[in-house]
Amino acid sequence: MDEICVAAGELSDQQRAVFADVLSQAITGELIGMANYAAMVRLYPHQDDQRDMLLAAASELGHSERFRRAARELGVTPIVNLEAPYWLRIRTSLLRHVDANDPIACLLIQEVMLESFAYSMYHAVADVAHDRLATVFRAIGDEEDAHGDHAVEVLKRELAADREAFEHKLEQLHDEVMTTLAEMLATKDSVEHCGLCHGECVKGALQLVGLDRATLRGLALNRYLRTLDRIGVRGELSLSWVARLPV
Amino acid sequence: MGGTVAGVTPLPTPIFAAIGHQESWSQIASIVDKMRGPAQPALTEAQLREIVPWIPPRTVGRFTVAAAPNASPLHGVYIDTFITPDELALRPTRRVLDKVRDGIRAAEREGARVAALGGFTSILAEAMAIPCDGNLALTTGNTLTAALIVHGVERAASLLDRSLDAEDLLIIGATGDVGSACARCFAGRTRRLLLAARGEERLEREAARLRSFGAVETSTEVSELLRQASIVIAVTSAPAPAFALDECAPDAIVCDAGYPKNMQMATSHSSRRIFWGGMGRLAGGLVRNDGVQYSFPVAHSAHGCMLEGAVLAMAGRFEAFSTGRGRITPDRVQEMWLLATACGMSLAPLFDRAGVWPEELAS
Repeated sequence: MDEICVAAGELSDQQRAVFADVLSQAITGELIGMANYAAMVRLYPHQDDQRDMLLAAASELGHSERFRRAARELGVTPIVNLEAPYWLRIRTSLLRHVDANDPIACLLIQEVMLESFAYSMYHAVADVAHDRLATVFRAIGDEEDAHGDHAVEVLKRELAADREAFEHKLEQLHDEVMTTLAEMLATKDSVEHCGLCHGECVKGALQLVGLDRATLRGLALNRYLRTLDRIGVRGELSLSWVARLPV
Repeated sequence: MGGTVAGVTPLPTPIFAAIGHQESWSQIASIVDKMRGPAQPALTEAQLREIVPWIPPRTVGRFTVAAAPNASPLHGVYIDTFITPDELALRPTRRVLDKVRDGIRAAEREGARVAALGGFTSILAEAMAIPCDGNLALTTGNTLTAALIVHGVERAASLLDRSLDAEDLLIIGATGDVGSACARCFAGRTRRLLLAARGEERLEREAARLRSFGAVETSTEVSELLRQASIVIAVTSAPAPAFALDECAPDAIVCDAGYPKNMQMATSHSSRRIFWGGMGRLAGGLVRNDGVQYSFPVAHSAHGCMLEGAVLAMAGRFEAFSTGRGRITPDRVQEMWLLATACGMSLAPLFDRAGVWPEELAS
């Protein structure tokens, strides 16, 4: 990706519009994260765990507020749409696993899959954005990174208890959720409009701010595979799952 | 790795690892497409170029090796670094070096005790002097490769009724780790030893060590020596050969021992007998459980660099046997050969891209 890093005042209207669409995705994603953690509270019988989920929900809400503030400073109005087709699909998946009383599935969706995309996208944007916007994206990206460690430890224990069952569950979740996430950065969409871009799909305009769809996709999948490696998932399995994602 | 809970089958811990990379986009395509499964369309090269550079080094296949058909098998893994063919053609970048380092980390995660570095990974790891954790020994695999090349050339000469002492043997890449080992093994055994390499100073130093055994000529220009050669060992590693084999004798024996194997591209004459050098075969079997790795015309065969880790594991010698930097002596080649043959390994029947040599089939 090219480095743009121009000051906010020097951005063209087209560049501002790209950042507006990127912020729409970030804010909506954080709010989906907040709702996901809030829904997961009931999966945990112990108050400490419930408090952790609520704190995580509050953290995601805080992130969305910081992105909103960054949007205001940039002079753009992001679209916040929790019913946006891709995000709704992901939210529906998570709620299905909440209803099935499956905290491991929920952790995998929220802490591994969604966070892989969030972390990599935020850092990629931070690398090309102007000072203030870069700072916000980088700081939130780092915060997303910090709370993934606990989940990895929990998931490692779960894998060690029954590798086959864990990897089977993960594969199903991968097909369910990662297919949607990958499609958000693929060349073709299965929906007419993502529900968050102001006009036409932003993917084709990302290069105006030094980003590109293929690199964002690659960074996210690299992060995802590395997280699965840390958990101990067999490398050949995770690669075979990623190999069949939409390109 | 592997669970210990009652009723759960633990994943066997691999005792050795082979770390490498693919030599062409078509090989990468075959791996990725097999992983995608038959229900999905094959990816285009453009799509592969979008995906592959981002894949972190990882295990892509598991296999077992055994010294004899009824011997208990040892488990190994093949770790692909996903260094792309495009990256091989350029000067190593930090990103490429990181891939080698991450490949080694992947072997450590798997719990392997010894890892062999194939293709360019050995060159890069040698340059970086990558430290390992206490349990993993790294070996370049070059000693077994050299042993297999030497035995391959002897086998080819024998199959074609040629006597080595009447041959002029050219080694292209003679100052590299494998090339210098081959030169030392053949010193004094051929009519002349012709050594070609890019670095004049190192070339002359290597030649000076060998002149006491017999006639040695050197050049930094491959074409100058090709015209005089009746046997050629090519151990250069370049995406495409930088010379034309047509300049050597029409009945020359060519041992294609570089990576990628591309000597066939360098000649238009089918009379030249080319074989893939450095290939070994395990009597007890080398069985892959995934079907995603490339296969050769000879069953249970693999590159020597990859097999060196398996041999060391079977022999219970978890050590950095080959450490690079031109330290391979004929004694070490012989030591490795004895270890390998004791583990049921032999030279693979000679073959090239077209298949096994007819002389091998007849014998």
